[in-house]
Amino acid sequence: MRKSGLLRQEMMWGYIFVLPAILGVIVWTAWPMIYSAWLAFHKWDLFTNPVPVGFGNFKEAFFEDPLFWHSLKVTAYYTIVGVPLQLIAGFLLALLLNTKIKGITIFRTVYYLPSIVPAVANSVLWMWLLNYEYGIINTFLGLFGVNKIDWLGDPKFVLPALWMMGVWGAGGSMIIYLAGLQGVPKEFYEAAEIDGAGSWSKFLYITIPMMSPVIFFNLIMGLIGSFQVFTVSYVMFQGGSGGPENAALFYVVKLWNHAFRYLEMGYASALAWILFIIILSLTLLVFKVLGPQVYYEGIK
Amino acid sequence: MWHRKLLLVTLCMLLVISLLPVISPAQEQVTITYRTWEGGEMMKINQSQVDAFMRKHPNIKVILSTVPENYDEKLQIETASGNAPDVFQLSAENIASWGSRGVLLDLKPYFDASSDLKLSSFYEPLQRQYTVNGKTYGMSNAVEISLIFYNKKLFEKAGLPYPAADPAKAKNWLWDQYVDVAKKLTVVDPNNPSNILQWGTTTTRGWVFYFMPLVWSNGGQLFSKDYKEFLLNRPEAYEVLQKDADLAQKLRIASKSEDLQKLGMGNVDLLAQGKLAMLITGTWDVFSLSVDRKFHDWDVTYLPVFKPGKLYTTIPQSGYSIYSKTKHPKEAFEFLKFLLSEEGQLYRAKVGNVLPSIKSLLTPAAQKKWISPAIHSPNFGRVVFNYMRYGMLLTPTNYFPDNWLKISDVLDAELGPIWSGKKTAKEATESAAAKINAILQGK
Repeated sequence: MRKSGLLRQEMMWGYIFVLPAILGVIVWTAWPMIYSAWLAFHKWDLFTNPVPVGFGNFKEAFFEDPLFWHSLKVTAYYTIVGVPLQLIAGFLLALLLNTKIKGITIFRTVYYLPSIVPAVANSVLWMWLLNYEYGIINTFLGLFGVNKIDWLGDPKFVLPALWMMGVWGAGGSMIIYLAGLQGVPKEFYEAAEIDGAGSWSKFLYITIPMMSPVIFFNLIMGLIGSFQVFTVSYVMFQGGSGGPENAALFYVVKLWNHAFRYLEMGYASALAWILFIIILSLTLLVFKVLGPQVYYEGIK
Repeated sequence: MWHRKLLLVTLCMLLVISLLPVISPAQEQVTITYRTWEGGEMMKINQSQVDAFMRKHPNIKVILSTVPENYDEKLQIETASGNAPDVFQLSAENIASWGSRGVLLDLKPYFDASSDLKLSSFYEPLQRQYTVNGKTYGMSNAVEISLIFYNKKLFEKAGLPYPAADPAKAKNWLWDQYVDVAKKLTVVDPNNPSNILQWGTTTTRGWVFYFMPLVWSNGGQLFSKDYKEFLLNRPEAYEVLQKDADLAQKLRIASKSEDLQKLGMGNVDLLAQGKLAMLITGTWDVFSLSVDRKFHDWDVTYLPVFKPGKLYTTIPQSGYSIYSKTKHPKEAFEFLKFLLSEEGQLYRAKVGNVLPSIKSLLTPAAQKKWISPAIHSPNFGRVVFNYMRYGMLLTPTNYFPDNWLKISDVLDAELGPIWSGKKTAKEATESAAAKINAILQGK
């Protein structure tokens, strides 16, 4: 009897301790999600009462709104090139920073730094780096005789500029790779060396398989994050303008335009749910296709 | 024992203090909140305006708050939850769409009942722009018009007379003459013809407020009268856009955006540093030139015309509105009236930030009250007072309809290739027309 009383008391305290987090999720995440799902089937201008429109918002997105497909295309293009670039850059960096040289911790800190710079500051910084006349990037390219590039003014170069920015911020995934690399047992390498494996074979047959869960994790997170890109375009191209010829009109930028500039919160909610479905299906697809290739130690 | 007495005394004092507001016979004080997006120097001016108002109305306390970023978003969310400020600055583009949804107080009855400030006291186009279906959802405290700023020294150096301040002459200043002048004012590096040392003319290319006066002067229109059709794809309109784009792309007498990037400075800097002779912009740049850059060798003139006599300008501006659910509409209107009064408007007009919107300040006789040689140019008053008579609103509805923001976004994106020389004006306006007509006629 006494024991169950104690157990109950512990349980009560447990609930009390997690209550703030649970309340937070309910109030700030679950409720807005439910509400936006409801709004997706309404027209709402934020000021007057929502008017039900059935599937009208979805019909509009798929069949009547050319910018829907455009923004989706831009976002997909940004993701398809940007995410692999980030993955590779992060991985290579981690390999370099996994060596034992003097002052390695300083290097690690320096390469990690960009990923803790706030997105807005990051964007403003890059606007300077990409500046046509004074930007360090054009100056650097000039050394090799490359003509100056209007990175943020020429629609062709807007996305490449943003990909570059993504690579620069690869420190976040780098740190995860690094942790993964240090978790690879040294015995494997020793055993392979005894068997006569070179460094390339070691990399291919030990490092990559052992790292596959980490790579997979970074791929999924990168994919999800990349589809929701917003701040860069918002800061660099004054609000929701989407850059020259809408070259950086990402999906979420368009969504924001509808929600807060065109007074179409219902349509924006529908767009948000479409994006959710897209990201979810993509993630599931990646799990299905690449999941079996991932090697989990101890499982299977 | 003594500390018990101390406690007693303390408690008594606390009681007295807490009762003070109840006992004091002072007039009931009303607090209203006031929101603007203007930071920096303008924030100080706003605060001194508020202080002056409170000195006159000791029973009204005004709390100023400034939101320089995400202004509309924040206001929308506050109104959705019923907590918006009582008086706020609002872009003219939002007046009709917010007003018709019940967010803004109809000021017409208040103006009608007011003895000192009537709707008819304001610059006429503003009365139309802020009135939607008979309801007035705000009023502008200031007008801007688009015109040409020129660097006087560069005209002298080229041996050219200054552009006219006389509207009768300006009415016949044809586009080709303007291009001729601009050509003469363009200086090319003799050793490297691609390096242009001094530009003849320029503007924020592609800005609808700038190109519409030119389009109107050629008989073109942005929309049909019933606001159902987009008309820039008509020859009389797109020819103007093409000629304007050619200034930068073909004739190389106007700077392109790449040129500005190359130089690493804005148009206003170019003008002030003598690298640009004429700049088409709005009256707000008086402040940028005279105050920010301490440059005074400038003056203003009218935009050129395509057909003789067809002189026009546009009047971009923003104003103030009152929240429809305010608890103190009377006091809020009292404050709004102060902001819009002669006294309230002079705060901004004097520093060259804006032109006043109240008619009583827009006469040659009243110009001493706000036009000063330290800030304004010799011809400023004459040009502005005359030019304002030709001010036109962009949409045939007078106010900006609900779908305006969407249309203006499409317009910017579709017309962009004209100014960068990738599409002809004919192609670009054709493609814009398809999209904009769908917005105008659909849904």
